[in-house]
Parts: sequence; C-alpha cells; structure tokens
Amino acid sequence: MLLTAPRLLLAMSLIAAGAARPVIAAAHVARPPLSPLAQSCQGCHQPAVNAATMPALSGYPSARIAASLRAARDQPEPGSIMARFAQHLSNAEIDSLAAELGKPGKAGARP
Amino acid sequence: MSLSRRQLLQTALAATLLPVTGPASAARRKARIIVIGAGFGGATCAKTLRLLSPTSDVLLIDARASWCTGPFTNLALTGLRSVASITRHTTDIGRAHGVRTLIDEVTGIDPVSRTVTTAGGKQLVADRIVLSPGIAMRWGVIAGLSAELSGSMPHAWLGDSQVQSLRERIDAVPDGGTILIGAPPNPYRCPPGPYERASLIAEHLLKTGRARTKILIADAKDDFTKRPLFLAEWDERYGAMIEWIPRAKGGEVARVDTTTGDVWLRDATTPIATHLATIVPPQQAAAIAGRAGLVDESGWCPVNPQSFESSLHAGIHVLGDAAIAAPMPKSAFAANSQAKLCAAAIAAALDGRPAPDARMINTCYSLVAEDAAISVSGFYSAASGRIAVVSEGVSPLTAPDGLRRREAAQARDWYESISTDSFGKSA
Repeated sequence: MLLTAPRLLLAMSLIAAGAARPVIAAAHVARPPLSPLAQSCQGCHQPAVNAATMPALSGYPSARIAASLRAARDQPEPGSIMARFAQHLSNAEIDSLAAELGKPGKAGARP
Repeated sequence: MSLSRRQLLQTALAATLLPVTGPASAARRKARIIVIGAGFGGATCAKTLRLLSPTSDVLLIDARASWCTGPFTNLALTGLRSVASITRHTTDIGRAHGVRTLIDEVTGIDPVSRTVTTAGGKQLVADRIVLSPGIAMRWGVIAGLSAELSGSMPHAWLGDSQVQSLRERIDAVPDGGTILIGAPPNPYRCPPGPYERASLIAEHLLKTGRARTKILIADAKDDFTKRPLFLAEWDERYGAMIEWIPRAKGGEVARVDTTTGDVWLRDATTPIATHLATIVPPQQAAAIAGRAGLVDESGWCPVNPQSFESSLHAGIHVLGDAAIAAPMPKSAFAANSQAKLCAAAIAAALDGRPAPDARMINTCYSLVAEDAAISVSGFYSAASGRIAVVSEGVSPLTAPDGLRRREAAQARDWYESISTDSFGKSA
C-alpha cells in the first residue's frame, strides 16, 4: 500500500500519541468491526490467504460484491455454493454485507 | 518473528477502536475472559474477542501443545497431505492472534465463581468463560473397546497420535484384505467424515495396487449427509470396493476384539475378520463440560444460540462440537462461525451495546477423490432461543462438467482459508 502524505501525517500523529506501531493502511482504520455474519464470510474469503477460488473481498468495490450476490441469487449456476448462500438473502441484506466487506466505489472499478 | 503487516494493522485497528472513555469507564477493571480449547472454536473466539474487546484480558488454554485439524485428517491418512501439514501449535496460535496462551489441562470449572482449575495447579478467576472443548468418546457402548484399546482400532477422530498410526495401518493392509470403518450414531463430530474416509482410502488402495481390498462401512445409522452423492461417486469410481451396511441391515458395531481384529455387528453370530478396523465410537461433549455442570441428559451442552451462553450457568459460553446447536452440524466451520457470534455477543454485553444479529454459516467440503469434491452449505439464524435454517444445500447429484474437480480446488482453498482465519498462518 502506498504511504501517501496524508497517511504519513496520520501515522506520525498516532506514533506521537503513543500508538504501538505506525499505521500502514490509514484509510481502513476508521471502519467499524465487521458483523459476525460478515466475519463468517471471511472464513472462506480470508484476507490473509486471498485464495484463487474464494478471494479476499476488501479489494472489490461493494457495488460489485452486491451485484455478484444478486446474480448468485437470481441466476444461480448449478452447483454454486454462493447461489445456495444467496438464495434467501434480501436486497437490503446483500447491500449491507457488500458494504461491510468491500470498498466504496463503482461496480466496474478494478480491485 | 517480526510482526506481519496484517498484525500491525490489527494492532492499529485495536488501538483506534478503544472507546473514548470518561473517568468512570477508565477506572473500570479490565474484563478477564478465559477461553478453554484452542481448536477452531476457541482459537477463533479468542482472536475475535481481541478484535472486538481490546481492553479485555483474554487467556487461551489448551491441554495440548500441538494437534491435527479434523478437516483434512482423511487426506493425511491417505498420503494426500503430510501429518505435519495439518498439525497446529497452540503457542503459535496465541502469537498469531496476540493472545496469551497456557498449555495445561483444565481439570475443573466452578461455574458459579467462574474459577478454572488446572492440572498444573492454577486457580484462575474469570468474568466470562468460553468453553470450546470438543468431544469425548462414549466408551462402553461397543463391547471390547476402550480409550486404550482403540489404539489398535484407531478412530483418528481427536487429532492425536492415532492419525499417524492409522496412516501407517492403512499402508500395511494387503491387497485383498478387509478394512472396516465403524460409523457412529448421531450426533457426532463431522457427519461426512467416515464416508470421506472410505472414499479416499479406496482411491489410495487403487493407486497402490490393492484393488481387491474391500472397505465395509458398518453404520449405526440408516442415513448420512450427502448419501446419494457418496453412493453415486463410489459406484462410478470404486466399483464394488466400498459396501455400506446401514443399521437396518444390522450394520451397527456391537463388539470388537482389538487383539484379533474381529468385529461383531449387531445380531451377527460370527465376526468379520478385518486387517484393519477404524471404529469411530459414539460421542458426547468433552469430559470437562460434564464436570462443570454444563451438559444435559443428552451428554451435550444446551446454550442460548444468540450468544452461546450456557442455559445452565450464566457467564459461561459453550461453542463448537460440545454445544447443542442443531441444525448446524458439528463441524470446524460451524465452530468458527459460532465463535464469531459468541465473541460479538460477549463484547456487546461488556460494553452495554445491543446484542448482535445472530446469523451464522457452515460450509463443508468432502473429497470423494483427490481431484473431486462435494459440499454442503448452510445459512442459519437464531432467535427466541432456537436456530433456524435460512438456506441449506448440497452439491447437485448430477454434476455439470468439471464441477467435482472445481469443488476439489475449492476444498483446498477452503481448508487454507478457514485454518488461517482460525489459527493464523501456519509455518
């Protein structure tokens, strides 16, 4: 991750405030903790692994995650696990999970 | 070992999540939370408590310094993985999650004073206890089988030295020999486990020139998870190698002789002579749960599924295999998901915040061959003291082209992901 000027300033102020370590990804610091369900999604979509078949989600725009979940629900591919999970998710639940797990941005933005 | 970027971020996150406190809460004593059991449930709970309740003092206790994961034990038994690759170390887990660990056996829990007593002589008082101790075998149901004698008919269901010894026993079975898998009655840890074991042993036998060896599954049940899928896959891949004997056809194991390898099924007058019997006994919650007064007459622990707090003693939470959480299966992923909800509920209670929405997931893959897998998944919610299924499903019986192979690749990614999530990166 880039150490931009604003991040560097934040890092320096946190060091001055006695934080244990300098902040690297300041942009993510303010996010509230994930709900238990969103954390459970990370059981497979584990950020520290970013597996090929179940990638980390924090690099994807929330709108794209929401679109994927809606597609899994509305045009389920035979045998897809995500189709089974999305089956009874409401649009509000999809948007909420996507907002928690992804990053703000347009659906078409590259991760 | 230097801290990873992820750990630095987590430390920074924890620091910034400290509530803006006034003088009263600044003076509040740190909550002491003891988590007993460093498996998928306990390790995940300790990790999540550190994230959500950074001011709490969390201690993670396990009797074992190292052990094998239940998931992928069947791969280690048949040479698809090494035993080392599925082994986890309790102190590494603590280091990965920034949690103090103690390797010691918990011998008693006073549920009223919330005092934990250990074999090493410690008396630890906690504000909250989380117990994720796993299972114990219910000895005395199958005649001739005990904890010691099971070493000769190893179940390898507890992640201990039986994993290595069963792996060696499988390799020693001659072509044309008989292997018997004893499958237990419900409920038990890892419902598809015995059937994945049969599948991978069959494939291993084929690969090692022992195609005439027979595998009998002597079942105490008449049905099992994903049964049509397993039966179809066995038929297609392994021909007549695997024979499943359900309870209704007298499949239940009644008696064994561990010195000769003889196994008597229910109502049988003559035993089956085996070269190897791997008997998975009936199960119950681990012994510490009973000693702590946390089990009911079923032998398992009743809990409020919105927080996994014990129904029998306040301030103590039980999760994972030991808890009654049907319709969630007793699986590693379920324990991980329950742990996240439990930790969130504890953190909310400590902070006086509303309880979290109780929603949990389970995903389990079973390999039917090295490059073919099937899966079960479930989405659950808890309200009014009961767990409801939001959606549940299994892989299709007729697989679209390439699906089983794709699911096998997913199975490996799933294992890596859930293990790293629960335990941190392994060495």
